[in-house]
Amino acid sequence: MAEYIVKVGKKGELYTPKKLRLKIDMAPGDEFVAVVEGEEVILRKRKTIVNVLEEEALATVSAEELKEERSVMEKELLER
Amino acid sequence: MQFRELYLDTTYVMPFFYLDVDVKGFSRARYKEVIKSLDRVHVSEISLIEAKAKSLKIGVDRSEINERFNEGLSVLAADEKVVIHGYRAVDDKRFNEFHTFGLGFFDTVILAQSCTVGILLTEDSRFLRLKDIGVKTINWDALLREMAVGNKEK
Repeated sequence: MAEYIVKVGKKGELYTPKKLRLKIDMAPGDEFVAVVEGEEVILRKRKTIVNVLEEEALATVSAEELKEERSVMEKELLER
Repeated sequence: MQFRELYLDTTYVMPFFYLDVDVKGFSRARYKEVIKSLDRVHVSEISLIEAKAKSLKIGVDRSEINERFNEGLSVLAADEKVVIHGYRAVDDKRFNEFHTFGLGFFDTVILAQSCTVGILLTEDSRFLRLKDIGVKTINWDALLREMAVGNKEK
């Protein structure tokens, strides 16, 4: 775990050190979610669908299986 | 041709839940570039439910699958580029019109919803055979070809 000092400006702006920006690949326009837990504030990078696609998949599914799944769900719904 | 928006069939919603699809020529990296180039990405609420159902049948670490699915769902809901379509009156009118095509129930809903966007990315051959119905259906292979032509023309 790494710690960084983030300073607060007059209007509440947070100034991040360059080392931190490089480490987490921070770029202008990025958004963060601030999670407050007692006295701790955790900043989590807000992901977009593009960020999700940058990460590896856990598994692969077949398009044919999805088609079958759709038929099963339809059957369940229409037979209710 | 350059696409500014696409309506995604369930197959193309799966990667947002960390589940890839076995479509020929598909890769996350290429898909990322396609998604990045769009202004809007449209998905049906039905696809989210289908994706959940499918995710329950995947035989790898259940807690990780559940966690990643939940994360994907919140990213989709929060991303300004994404439009999640519920079932509206306009969709219902189109559903009644398309019901005669002999597609499945969910297929017909998705097709009806995609009409407001005008282009549906799908691998379903039944969709791909349809012509002149108010929505263009296109598969991954054709999409890449059309986008490549569009890039050259730029």
